[in-house]
Amino acid sequence: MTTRIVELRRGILKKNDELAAGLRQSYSAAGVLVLNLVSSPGTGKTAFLEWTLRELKARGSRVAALVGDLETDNDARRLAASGAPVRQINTHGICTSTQR
Amino acid sequence: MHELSIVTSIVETVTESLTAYPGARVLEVRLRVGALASVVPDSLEFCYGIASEGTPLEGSRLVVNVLPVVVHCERCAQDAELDGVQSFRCPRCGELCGEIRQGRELEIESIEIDEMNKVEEIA
Repeated sequence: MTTRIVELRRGILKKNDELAAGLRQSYSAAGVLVLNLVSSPGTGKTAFLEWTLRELKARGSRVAALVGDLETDNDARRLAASGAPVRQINTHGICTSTQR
Repeated sequence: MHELSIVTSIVETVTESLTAYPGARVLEVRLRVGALASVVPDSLEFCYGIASEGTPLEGSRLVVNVLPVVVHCERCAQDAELDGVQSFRCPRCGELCGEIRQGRELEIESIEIDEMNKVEEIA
């Protein structure tokens, strides 16, 4: 048996980083601002979106919401109350952040 | 459970690197994982067995080397190692430190392979 140690020094998420860089580039080329709003459950992410949709609509902006959720359309119904067009996507168990 | 996709990526990267060593079998894979990489070593090891099945990595050991967070303290003008990831204060002077020098790593350091088959081919 001949064993050998091979130095790799390879980033595990390199492919992910390259994909992310590509997305950032295409968004900025298209002049699209992308925000990622992250917080614990119950701290007000949807409430913040409700307020944002309502305010932007009141100021005459063309706004719409596309809502992703594992099973329910609870958030979509809350956001639809703003009067803005809302569409729901249900992934049925697949968490989009880990979908390959 | 993003550990499974991380482990899948490890298996892919290692398998690709084996093209330089045809027929080689992997005995050990050594990782460098920073304390801020949001990776649970136990979960990595759990997924590793499943993801490596049927690949040249099957049956190999996964060695996870966890690196502590190292910050740079402006006041002390030197780097300092932190005990945890909850407080980013210099352990010497208590200054808040935001400049992270180590702790975000998530990389394959090296692999140990068995080239037995290659030797047989030459003989």
